[in-house]
Amino acid sequence: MNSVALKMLLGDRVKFLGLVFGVAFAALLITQQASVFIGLMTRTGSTIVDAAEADLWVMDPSVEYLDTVFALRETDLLRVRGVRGVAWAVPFFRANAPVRTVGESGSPGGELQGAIVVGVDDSSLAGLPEDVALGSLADLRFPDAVAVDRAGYLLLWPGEELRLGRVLEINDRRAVLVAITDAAAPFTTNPLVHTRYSNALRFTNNGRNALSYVLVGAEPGVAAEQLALRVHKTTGLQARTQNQFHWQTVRYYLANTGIPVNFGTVVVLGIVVGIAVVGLLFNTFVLEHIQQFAALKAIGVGNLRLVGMVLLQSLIVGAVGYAFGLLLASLFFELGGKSVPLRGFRLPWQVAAAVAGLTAMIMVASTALGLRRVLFVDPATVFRG
Amino acid sequence: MGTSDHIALRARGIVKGFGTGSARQEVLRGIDLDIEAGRTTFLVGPSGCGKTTLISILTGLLGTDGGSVELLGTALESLRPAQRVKLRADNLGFVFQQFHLISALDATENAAVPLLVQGVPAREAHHRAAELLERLGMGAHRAKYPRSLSGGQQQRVAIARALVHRPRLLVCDEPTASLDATTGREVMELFADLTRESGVTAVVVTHDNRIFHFADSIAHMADGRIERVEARSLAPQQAQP
Ligand SMILES: Nc1ncnc2c1ncn2[C@@H]1O[C@H](COP(=O)(O)OP(=O)(O)OP(=O)(O)O)[C@@H](O)[C@H]1O
Ligand SMILES: [Mg+2]
Repeated sequence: MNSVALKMLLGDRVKFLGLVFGVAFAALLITQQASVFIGLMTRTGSTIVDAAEADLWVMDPSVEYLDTVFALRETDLLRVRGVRGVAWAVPFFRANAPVRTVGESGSPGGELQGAIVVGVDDSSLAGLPEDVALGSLADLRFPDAVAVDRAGYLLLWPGEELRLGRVLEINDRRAVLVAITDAAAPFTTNPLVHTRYSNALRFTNNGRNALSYVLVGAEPGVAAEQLALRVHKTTGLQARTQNQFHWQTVRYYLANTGIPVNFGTVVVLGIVVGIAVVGLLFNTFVLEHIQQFAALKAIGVGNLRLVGMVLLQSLIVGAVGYAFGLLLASLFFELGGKSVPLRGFRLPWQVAAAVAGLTAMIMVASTALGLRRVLFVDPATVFRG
Repeated sequence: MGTSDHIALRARGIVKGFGTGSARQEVLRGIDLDIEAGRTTFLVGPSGCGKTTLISILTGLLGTDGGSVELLGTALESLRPAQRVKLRADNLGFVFQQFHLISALDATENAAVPLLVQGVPAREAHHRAAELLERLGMGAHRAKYPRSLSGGQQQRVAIARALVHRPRLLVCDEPTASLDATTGREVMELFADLTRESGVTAVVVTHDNRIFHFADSIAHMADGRIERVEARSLAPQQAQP
């Protein structure tokens, strides 16, 4: 009887496609929105992701998340270095500053952008992103040298091919481009400038006391979580593992911005529209076949078998629709993920799994009404005209 | 099968009404009926007298307000719903006025449905269905879908579906009402051949007095009761049309 159920479903080509399209649309919408949401939230901690070498981030106890820092004192760096289990500890600077391109003739080229300036330890250069598109990050040791991320480069020099040696002004101070990075995309679409700590202070007109963070490497065999506790106990500073700090930042954005509500609304709409469209179509499908179901009942198909048939039809619609929606979503991220604004966005398997669950939920809700009709249809109606 | 070897279907004191309060309508007011095994019984009577209600009850599709039905030696009241379903699947064939073929299945697949319900493998089921369709003159239309079949052809498929699993009781409600006179006659002739050959017990509800001569006996119904049962000649095909 399963083959009969399948043929009934596929026999109505238009309705079947409509059902699949409804499920696919809902799955695509939810998957895409949830993935972009997760991508955006991940971006809030892009600086943490880039400084992958750091086991710990040490900061002022009042710091709530990555973007708003309260400067530490230089002596804090020394105190952190003194904690048992700390292999290395280096200064790390992060601030916003206006950056402007300078034309070949030496005149300001005019393209003005608010940049994120990251300064890393002058001697070790610890905390730089790993991926480099052009040039070498070792060249940051040259005077005035900076690296800009590829997306930032395209903001500063739109439409131009990647080229080193170009000149920038950061707060009216001259900087020379020595490398182009493929750093993780930041939450805001600002150029990301990496330079040495001392340069960064100069570029941003900061004096000596502008230590945003202390990055810490743990000694081999020392667990980051344990070390974070110890650093906190010993120094009174806030110490977080990479993961903890990233989540802390994400949580801040979740709690203090409208982003989760926005995305959540679209996801809920996807579910609601999915249920409405699929439910309506499925109900119509059942209604149009109700006499055929009734005839099957009369002929001797029990309720259990009928429920099985309807659930199979629902399962097929759900599975095909889900597969189709997920395929489209993957395509979106496969193609879009290469573009500058969407770089780094991808489809986490957890989202795919969650959407599978939601699709199942949509199908259950959408099938319920039709199933009820099939269950309660009076087989005696087959005798009526 | 106990005492009623030659009685396929026995109804005693069937009472059935619809609605409640002042809208209450008593449709069956004490039906007593014996349907003889291996014969074709017509159930006739004016519109609204309760024929359809009665056969719904006799086949276990509808409950009663009183009375008892013994179907093929089994008291329907004693069966659980699932057992009733099984009894129908194994022993009953249905032909409806509106055919009720499954639109997404071709003629062969439609005719094979009762076998699939019984769990017969699809290949064998389709083979048997195709053979029967051949007998019904539908050989050339075996792979056609209901929408491209005429009414008479659809009813032949429905008859094939009703007989394919060799049921012991065949129930037809107005099998010719959706067909023109000639087609109705042709369909009934095929029907009569097949039923006589298989020895199946048939109950046919009809208004159509042009086909009365296919009956072995005719039960007349009026006002919720069986008025009389009329035995027809033993050679019904020679009776006047
Ligand atoms: N499910 C139901 N609910 C309410 N009333 C019903 C129901 N089924 C049948 N009836 C009523 O019972 C009466 C008998 O109906 P039934 O269909 O059995 O008559 P019938 O003899 O088959 O008529 P016809 O020859 O027109 O098919 C009618 O008055 C009908 O309105
Ligand atoms: Mg009727």
